[in-house]
Amino acid sequence: MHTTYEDASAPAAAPILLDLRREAQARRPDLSALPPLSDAERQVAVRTWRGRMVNEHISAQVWAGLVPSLMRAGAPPAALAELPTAIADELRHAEQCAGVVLALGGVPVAPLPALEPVPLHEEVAPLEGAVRNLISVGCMSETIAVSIIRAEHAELDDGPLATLLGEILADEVSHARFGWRTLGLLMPRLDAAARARTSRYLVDAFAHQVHHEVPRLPRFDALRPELGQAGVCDGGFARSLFLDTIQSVIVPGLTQAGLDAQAAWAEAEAETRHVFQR
Amino acid sequence: MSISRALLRHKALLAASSVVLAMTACVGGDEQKADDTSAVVIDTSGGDSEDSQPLDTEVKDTSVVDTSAQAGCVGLPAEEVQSCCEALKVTCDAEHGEGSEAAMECLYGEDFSGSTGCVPWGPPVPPRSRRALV
Repeated sequence: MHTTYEDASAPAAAPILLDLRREAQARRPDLSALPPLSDAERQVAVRTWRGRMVNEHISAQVWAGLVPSLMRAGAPPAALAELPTAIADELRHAEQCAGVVLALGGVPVAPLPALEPVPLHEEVAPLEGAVRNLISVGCMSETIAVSIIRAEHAELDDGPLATLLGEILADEVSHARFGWRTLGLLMPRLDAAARARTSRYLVDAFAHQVHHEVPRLPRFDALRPELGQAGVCDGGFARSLFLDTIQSVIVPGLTQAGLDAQAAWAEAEAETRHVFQR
Repeated sequence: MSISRALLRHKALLAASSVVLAMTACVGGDEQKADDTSAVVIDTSGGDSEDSQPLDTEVKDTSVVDTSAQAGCVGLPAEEVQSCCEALKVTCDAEHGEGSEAAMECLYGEDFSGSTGCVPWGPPVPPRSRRALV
């Protein structure tokens, strides 16, 4: 990878570029059997996979940020030992997405957004802070990813892209399971007051999911099946699946963990209603 | 492969539900066991029937907004991307103020967190709490 690292002392640093051209060469799938796409459709597919490339790459630092958070919380070594695997998975996914970009005729180069550190939530005890991060990353983001990718995978005909998406899906399932499993380990250690605060935090965590996901789910009202075969999903359907996953899976799961997730989601949903109407 | 939306939804939520079971596998205890059906998907979408209509949610229809033109540098040949981005940053900073949110949107596009396509898979950085907690 050729990355231009930012010099913090520079007054007006150039955007940092993620350049995965070399990695893409090694990961390039054979997409010659894809149905014909128009130029515009091909560009949509390229943008989709390039966006995934960036998001997968930067999510490695999110998993890395869970190491200090969980370590401060006294998480068991077996749980901590799973984090490097998740980091490596996300970096590999970025390379795989870059390979698809290249195979579609695109250039796997994109600007990186600013990388924020994973919060330690120092206003609360380390254990409580770690639970917040686990919920946001594993129980929300990764669980939503499992749902969305499973639907995308089910729409694909057998072929290299289905194989690739299947591999990514398996990893995301593993990441989400890690989140829920570790939450199950840590929740019994939270007292009633901490659980109440965590329930309140869920409002922010749900709202954050909406702000992160929904604006990036464009509606393709008449998505041709051919474009679907290139791994582009219908944003409108993805939006509904996003909501269904929260309401039917995540809220019940967090409730089962002892949190007031239903009330939190109701509050977050009311707060973010405008996001869906954009 | 032609597959109904209802079946897609069913498969997706089933997969998501399966990961939640990892929690109950280690929490144990009567309370959790008694309530472990709460994560089971209730499919009200009509099973495997063909369903080309949007699912019944509160999501309002919106038109496609392609903001990729704002982040147009990524569409250039690779050797031109760096110089394009640098020029674009100068322009955006001058117009909106260096480092401002508007400048970032000008540079990356209003939806930018990496994706102008469908779904951002990678988990974002968890939010800080915005609420005063006691």
